[in-house]
Amino acid sequence: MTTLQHLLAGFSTALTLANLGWAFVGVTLGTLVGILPGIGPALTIALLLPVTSTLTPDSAFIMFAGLYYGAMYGSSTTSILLNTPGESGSIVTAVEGNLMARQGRGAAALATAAIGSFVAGTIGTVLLTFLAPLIVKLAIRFGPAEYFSLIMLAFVTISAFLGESRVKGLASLFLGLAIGLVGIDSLTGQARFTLGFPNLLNGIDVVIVAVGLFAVGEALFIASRPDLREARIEAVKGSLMMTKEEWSRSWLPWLRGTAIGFPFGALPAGGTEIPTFLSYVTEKRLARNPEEFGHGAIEGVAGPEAANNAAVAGVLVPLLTLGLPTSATAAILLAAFQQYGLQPGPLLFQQESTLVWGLIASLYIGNVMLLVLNLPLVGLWVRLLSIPQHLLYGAILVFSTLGVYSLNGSTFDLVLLAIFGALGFIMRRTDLPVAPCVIGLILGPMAEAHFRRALSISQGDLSVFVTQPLSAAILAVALAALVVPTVISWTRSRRAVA
Amino acid sequence: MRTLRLSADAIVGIGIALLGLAFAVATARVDVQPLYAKVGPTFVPWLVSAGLIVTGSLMAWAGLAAPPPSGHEVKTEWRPVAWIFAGLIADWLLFKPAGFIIASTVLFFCVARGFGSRSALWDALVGAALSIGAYLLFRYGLNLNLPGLLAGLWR
Repeated sequence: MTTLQHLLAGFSTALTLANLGWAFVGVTLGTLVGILPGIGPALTIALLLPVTSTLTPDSAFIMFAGLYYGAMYGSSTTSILLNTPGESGSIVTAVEGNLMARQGRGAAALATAAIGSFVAGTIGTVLLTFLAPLIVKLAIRFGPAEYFSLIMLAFVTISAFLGESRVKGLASLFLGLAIGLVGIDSLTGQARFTLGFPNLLNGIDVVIVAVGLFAVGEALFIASRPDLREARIEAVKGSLMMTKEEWSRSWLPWLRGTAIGFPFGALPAGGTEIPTFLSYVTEKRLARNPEEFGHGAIEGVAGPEAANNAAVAGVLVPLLTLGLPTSATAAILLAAFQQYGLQPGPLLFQQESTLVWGLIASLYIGNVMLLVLNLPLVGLWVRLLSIPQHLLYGAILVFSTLGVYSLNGSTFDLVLLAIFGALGFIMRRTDLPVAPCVIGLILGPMAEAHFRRALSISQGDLSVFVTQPLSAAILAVALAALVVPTVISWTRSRRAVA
Repeated sequence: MRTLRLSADAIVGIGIALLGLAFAVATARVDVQPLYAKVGPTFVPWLVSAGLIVTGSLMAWAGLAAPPPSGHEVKTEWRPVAWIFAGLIADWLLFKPAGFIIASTVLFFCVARGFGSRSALWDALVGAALSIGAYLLFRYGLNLNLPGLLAGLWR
């Protein structure tokens, strides 16, 4: 079948009444958690995992994907009206968009963010539709050595490019890898690092770690910082219908934002944050009146908001075709696939083609739903922002303990939740990025399995990773990503001294 | 008189390095059958231990080399942190014996305190309403097995 035929079949899956319903639940929940500061898509999907085990995988993933897209739409509303980014991909919007809102142009900022998200999300989904089958064709020839090298590349880029310092990114990655080692070794059946607790034999569930790091860690951090506890909500002022001038200033930034965001999501290069910054800088440089930036320029909202939605579509490419998550949310999605006994990768497209194409088709539908939910109905959502913080976080923690307990029906997991909550708090205090830890946790055991499988095929010969051309090339890129920035800054500082 | 104040980075870096040491010690104690000796279940743990020690030390080093805290950075309040932690511990202790609803109400109350709410009775009521709602939804709506109210009395 051709890609178009697959896509049409996908629409016949996605357009059933039940799946349309789940897509709607997903985009609505996504908008909700995007708007509420403190909960994001990764945490929400993690909390839903115990509950969704009763759904069919088709419906569950249609809901999750809608949730991921929806969170990107919703977070822009919070950024613009509250000056607190709803998610990390909206940090730039929180600056420029909030300035617009303060000048009474909040409605225009919301409109360009929502329409830009729609444009970028749709173009991104088209790119995903046609790119994914190509990568699948390539990936079908990958062996354990190639997969191991790819994971190494993802490790390096995610820890090196995310956050302010490479050392901290790597430290976070190694923390995640260490957590992933706890439990029975899958190849020899040997218990490792369980400290004698039988509850740890099956390893530490990624849901507990994610909920601890995101929900509990965030609650502890916000509560400890009085300056973060108060925020001023700007009222929506102006017309949601953009003027002719606003349209003409928005459409190019939307397209450029898409062009920047999609590849960054698709390559293992750091998810949704970096492309929004790049897009902002690009728009500032290209703008006719750059002095407006920093005082509420519409281009500074249109570009980054398109970039983060395109990046989300991009993130789905390596996740679905290679089983390689490049953002924290994608890592949780991978855990969701594993819960259903599914392994994303080239085989998924052959064996679960209904699921994959239904999921992709539902993304087109979800984008339309989100545009309707987020533009005319924005006034309803804004009311959520006035929920007092103490009630919001109280509810988040109650649902967190509920979700974690229902994984195994064991209160031991509640202790683990508190421990990882403390870790999340410490990481936030010292600016250790959380995403490398979650990705290390979920990819670490896979990397180890591929590594040892490759070595058992080569009968213990370590050179297998560098004698196979593809694997060698990927490892070389990973090494360059790790070393080159260090060398550059070193030579620069030498030159400065000389 | 200047007192030595370690930055948070230095403390956490040292902590990560120590965790790496602990992992190394634990790795040394995993029995390896000679059959798997070359790349067995301890190979990757050795790498991860080394990674933790190196990155932790580098982070601590950078933290020590950085200029001492100027005293202008945002202050951390510890009372809210203690409230939330107390709530989590109470939730753990009460979950089985007192049931989900009571444990969650206590947790909600403590978190609300931690975020500086001053209306104690109102928080307890909202917490109880939320917990009962969540219990009914998950127990009957989604058929999840939760310890009920005062284990055994109401299921």
